[in-house]
Amino acid sequence: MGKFLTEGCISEEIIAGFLKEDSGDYKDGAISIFIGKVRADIHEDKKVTAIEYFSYPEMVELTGEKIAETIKSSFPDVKNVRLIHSTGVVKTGEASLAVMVSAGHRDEATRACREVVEMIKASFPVWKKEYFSDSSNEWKEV
Amino acid sequence: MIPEQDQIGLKHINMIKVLFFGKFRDITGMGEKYYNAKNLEELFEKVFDEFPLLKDNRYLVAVDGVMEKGNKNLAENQTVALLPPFAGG
Repeated sequence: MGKFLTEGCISEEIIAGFLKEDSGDYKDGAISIFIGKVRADIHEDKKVTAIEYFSYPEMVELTGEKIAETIKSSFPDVKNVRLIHSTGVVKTGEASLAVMVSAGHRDEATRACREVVEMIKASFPVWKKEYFSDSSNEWKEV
Repeated sequence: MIPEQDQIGLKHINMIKVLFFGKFRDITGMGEKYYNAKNLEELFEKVFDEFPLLKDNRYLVAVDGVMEKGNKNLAENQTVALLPPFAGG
């Protein structure tokens, strides 16, 4: 599955694993986390019940490494960058994206975490199909 | 498909693997297909000729996992991905 993808929703164990990582020298004084969840949007009276994610795994690996490298060079105070995206079906209310950034201080941790999310939105080769309460489905375009 | 031939009749075959993702898999009915093409322009002429419905969509192109814009020469066994706009997160 690779370092940046997981089948199904992002589990609590994955997020807990991110939190347990440390730089080894205890110079990371701040951790910022973003969790993206599947929202129960309404489209023409139909409620979203789940999203199925599809990816290009080889390109996800290249892109994920590039995002981490870019963040570390843009934010010198950042110590660690972790990100993981779901593939397959994720139900509403469940997490489909997790980002964790640790840094020496809160300002860089928070800004870098936000930047990782924006980079994923812009460059991660992932696509999604929405499933609705009436059993229909359609590709979600942004 | 008949490969191009030079003056002494040697065939120039440059097989490129094309990957389809997202809604493009629904349109083409497949995840990948091989084409003989020397550059991106020639490749997409063949792809769109075979699957004209693809032309109605916005798309991005990656060669061996790296985004590309414009034309680019292709080498044997390279992989070209035809990608719908990303929708992660």
